Amino acid sequence: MMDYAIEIEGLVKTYPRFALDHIDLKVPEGYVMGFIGENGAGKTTTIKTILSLISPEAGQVKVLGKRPEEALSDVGSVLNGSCYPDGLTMKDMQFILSHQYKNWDSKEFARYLDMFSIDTKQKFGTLSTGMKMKGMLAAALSHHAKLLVLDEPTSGLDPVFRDELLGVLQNYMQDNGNSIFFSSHIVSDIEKISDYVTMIHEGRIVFSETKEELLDGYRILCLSAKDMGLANKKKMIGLRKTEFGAKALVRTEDFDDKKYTLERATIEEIMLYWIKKEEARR
Amino acid sequence: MIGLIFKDLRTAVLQFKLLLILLVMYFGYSIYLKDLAFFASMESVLVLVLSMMAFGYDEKSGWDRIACTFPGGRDRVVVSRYLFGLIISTVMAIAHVIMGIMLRTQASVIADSLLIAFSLSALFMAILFPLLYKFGSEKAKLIFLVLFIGMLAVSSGLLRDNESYVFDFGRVSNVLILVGSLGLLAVSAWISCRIYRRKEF
Repeated sequence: MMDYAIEIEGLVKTYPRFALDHIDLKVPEGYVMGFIGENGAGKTTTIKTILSLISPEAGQVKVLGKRPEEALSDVGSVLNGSCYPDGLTMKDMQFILSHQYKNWDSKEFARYLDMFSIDTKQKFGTLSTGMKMKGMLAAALSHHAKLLVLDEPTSGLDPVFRDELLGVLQNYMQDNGNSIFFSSHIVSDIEKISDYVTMIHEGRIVFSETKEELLDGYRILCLSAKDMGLANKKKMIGLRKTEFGAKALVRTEDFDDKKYTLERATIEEIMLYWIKKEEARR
Repeated sequence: MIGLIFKDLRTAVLQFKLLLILLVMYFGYSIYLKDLAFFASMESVLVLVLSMMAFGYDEKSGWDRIACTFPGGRDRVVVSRYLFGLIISTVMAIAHVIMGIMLRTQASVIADSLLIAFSLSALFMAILFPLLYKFGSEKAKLIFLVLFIGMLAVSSGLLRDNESYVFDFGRVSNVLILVGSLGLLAVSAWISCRIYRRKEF
């Protein structure tokens, strides 16, 4: 039986203008799951339930087989929009965090800070956005967490920083059994490191598949103006009119590549077409 | 918990210049007035100011969201904040004793006024902290301001402006006052823990 780093079943959380609507999601141990969706889709709210920052109204959340609050010692997290206090240094944070985690590894923390070229005596408020993110990631990686939960860790970072950060995450995954749950609206980052991709839209899970299943399972159907009437529109996911006809996302098995022009779809295209379909449905 | 208290103390030290100015000002003015009661009343205000600053600092940085992802439960975050308040009160109490000695005040008067000042600090914290946890620092400050004005009127009645600093507690002993104020603080901590456990970030 497969063990799961995160198991969410029937999660419901309602706010006045937004709701998580019966979310089901499973992250197998030892894998990276990318969590995609546009801003306001429900990524952060889902992550907050994983970290026990909010309580669900219905459903069950298990982290490393336990209730979220019981698993916190084995979870490293980086939250979007939260920072260490501006006046503190990473040296201060080292002291604070070493008293929170039994498995805190000061050498590992120093190694990461050195790798990221962060001065331990520099106040957090004077660090750049990228350096702050790296500092928090260093902390998340320094208590031998079995699961990393990262909320938009690459948001606002330049491509070089992002690439470096993804490299660090790939190194973290070298240890067997480690898992990452990684939300981002920068889909190219997800595509680089994820084994599984889950998309959320308006509080509902649209798909949750392995990256290979996703990339093999969808194609972009290119239709000329005269072919428009021939193809089965019911099997199209989000249709976009172009100068020469139309393009639509389709399931690979639904259309014969000998009869139609089918192109490989990127995860970003899959996401955009799904959003288009959902918006058309409303 | 040590780490969390350290965080509060460290951020308080960052406001050191402001604190030092306030302390020197109160110290100087109390010596000028030769009035330990003035300093005693300001001790509680300083404890309040520092506590509010600690809460405001956390809100600004989103610290609670980070602190609540630490293992060990949310109660530790709340209890450490109360301990921080008590540490600040103790520092103020030491300053109070130094002030009393400098003013050549009788030991019994120093002890009595110290007790009242400490009890007031505890009472202020006991009322303010649950408000801060429930409503956030902006709303809580306003609510407390209204309550504070009322409390100020009561406390000014308790501290008689005469040489012997006799307190109007009748048969209530000094020990009971101390126990009562700490008991209130404990109840307040329990209420704050309940509020904080349910809070969503």
